[in-house]
Amino acid sequence: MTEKTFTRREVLKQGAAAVGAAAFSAWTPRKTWAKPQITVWTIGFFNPKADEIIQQQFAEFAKKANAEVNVVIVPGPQITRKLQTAVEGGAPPDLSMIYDSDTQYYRSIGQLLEVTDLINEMKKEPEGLFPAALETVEYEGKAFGVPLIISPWPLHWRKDLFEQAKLEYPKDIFEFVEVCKKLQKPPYLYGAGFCLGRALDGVDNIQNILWLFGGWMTQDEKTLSINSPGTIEGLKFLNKMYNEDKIIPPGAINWDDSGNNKAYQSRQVIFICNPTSVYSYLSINDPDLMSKTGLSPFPPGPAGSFSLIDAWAYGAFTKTKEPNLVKDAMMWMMQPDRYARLIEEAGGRAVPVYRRLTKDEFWQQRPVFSEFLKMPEYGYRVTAKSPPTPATAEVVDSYIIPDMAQEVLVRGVDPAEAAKRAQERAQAIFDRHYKRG
Amino acid sequence: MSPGFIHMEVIERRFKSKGAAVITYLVLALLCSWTLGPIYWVVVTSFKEDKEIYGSEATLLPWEFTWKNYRTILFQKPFPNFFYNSLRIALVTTSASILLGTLGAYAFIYLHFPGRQMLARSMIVTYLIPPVLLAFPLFALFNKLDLIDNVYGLMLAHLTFTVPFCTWMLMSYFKTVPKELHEAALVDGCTHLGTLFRIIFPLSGPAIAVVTLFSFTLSWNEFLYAILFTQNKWSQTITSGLSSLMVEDIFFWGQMMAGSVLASLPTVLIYFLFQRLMIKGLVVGAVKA
Repeated sequence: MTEKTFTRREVLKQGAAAVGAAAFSAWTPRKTWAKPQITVWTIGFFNPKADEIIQQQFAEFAKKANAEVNVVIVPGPQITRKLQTAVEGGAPPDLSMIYDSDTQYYRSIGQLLEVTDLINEMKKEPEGLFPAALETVEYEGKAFGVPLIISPWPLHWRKDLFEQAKLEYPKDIFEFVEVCKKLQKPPYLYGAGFCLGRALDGVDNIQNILWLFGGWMTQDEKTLSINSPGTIEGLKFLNKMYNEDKIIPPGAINWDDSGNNKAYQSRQVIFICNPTSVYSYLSINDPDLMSKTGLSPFPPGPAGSFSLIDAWAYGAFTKTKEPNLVKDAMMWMMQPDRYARLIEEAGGRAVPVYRRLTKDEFWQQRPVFSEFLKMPEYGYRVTAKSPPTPATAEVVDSYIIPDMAQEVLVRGVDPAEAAKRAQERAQAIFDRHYKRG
Repeated sequence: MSPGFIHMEVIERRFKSKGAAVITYLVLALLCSWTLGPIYWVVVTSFKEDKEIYGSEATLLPWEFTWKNYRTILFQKPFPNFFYNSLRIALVTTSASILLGTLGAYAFIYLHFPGRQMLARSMIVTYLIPPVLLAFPLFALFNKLDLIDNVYGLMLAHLTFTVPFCTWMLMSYFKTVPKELHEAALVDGCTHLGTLFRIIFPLSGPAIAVVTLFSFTLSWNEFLYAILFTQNKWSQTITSGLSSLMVEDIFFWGQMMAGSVLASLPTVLIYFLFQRLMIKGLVVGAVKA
């Protein structure tokens, strides 16, 4: 028997051939498109059927318009970073779903097409659009995107535990604390699963508590009001909940955006404040817990009752070579009947931007959403009292609010001092944006 | 004599009393569990149902063993395609890095030209630049070259950190090869390329093994460029594909863990097969710069 031996040259040749084959095995030259084409980035919904419907509706549009529409579903946590890179790199998509105040940010740097004509058409619908939706896209009477959904942040709470203990939903925030203390069994079950970490959920949850005591991030578009008696009172109350009453899980200080979701889904907390992505998850993965879950607004504090909302929009980028096609695509997707199908398939993930659609059978058959549907009328943006602006977007994204809370809760800094420091940090951002000082 | 045997002997010589040896092994066991604990958790979680993963109790073994997470990512998600893309990118990046790194290292060690020292040092500086700083310029450049959203763009992007790394590692190793061999080859009429590939390269097996493994691992695990430069599921790699299992603020831990187990298999396999060569390469001088 002869033994097959390979020379070094043969081994190198075969290795190079293998690598070459691997590199170019799926190489196909770029197609030359005869039809106009656009690229659309959509944010992945929790319910895959909603994503399918979006793709299907864009495909129908492409057929009708005799165009190519390339739909890319981008996972939620990636969209902000990918859009920033694409814009900086000079290659944004033609059309994209955009989170909340990012629409105003891209508008401020001249990246978004003006689409006031589309908004005027949408406003003609009976009962019109929710003002909260318009706030996301309008600036000085012009619109730079079309609002897509409104996402309220109700308190998700364990109805079953309340029923077992024969307790009523708390009438105010002080009763909320007492109820949590009665029902919780730490370390297995905590009362309030509020995110206190350096995450957007942290900003939203903490700011919602500060509102109850009159603490606002801004007074108007150009005036910050973090350093206020309301914020200081709110911080003291938060500190009491965390360090004295111990109704917030100790780990909440390090939670990311998914921390409160995980805590509720694993039945380790009684309350969380979150968009209804948690509810959507439960509807598919844990119907038992879903049936035990209530959706209600935050109990009022001394300054009143306040609930949080955010909104997503479609934005068309100015770099597009097909502005008319992109605008037609936006209108196609926002045609009320077609749009209603998407909203219903998303299964209560968000409130439609058209007021009249909230009276559809889908919502009427689900009483659990009754309060949820009202929230766009009275809910506030986290940046309130200012609408979302590029400056407030930067304050939010810099996690100044969670940093301020953590100084008090973890490092024992006096709330007044923490509020003062937070205001100074935010003011530096505002000064840069408004070219003062 | 196997390295394991040598270690035993060393330990026995060093620790005269049994107590000292016991303490040593206890510390080693602790370090092993520190290292292997997370890996164990990843593997076990990949076999758990969502309900158990989100349960209030942390379970060391699955209550109900399930392949569901593996089935989902293999048959309902484009995971095989992510895997294939990662493999292609890592193979091409590794090969190109070795070729370019070898040529570069040879030039820096054996050729004399103005600015040699400065260029050699600048290689390590480029390696030290955080990838995030290069992300925007690279994106703009690749966009002009129509390399966004395809694997060739990622191959080029990965070369920005694997080539300096390979060159620097090989330079350190080439320094340990006797200069007389190089000079003898040139005297006997070999060209520089001939000297490199007939004399230096064959003597550098362990170092080549080390740079191959590290380049492959760096490219395989790369996340930032993968997530920024690819957009659709047909061009994504394992790392960016796995992150698509985070939907809104809900993470599919079971599927992510199953994907992570499968994604780690090639590197684990390669390290397992070539670990001796690697240790030799590291010890002999590859990182003695």
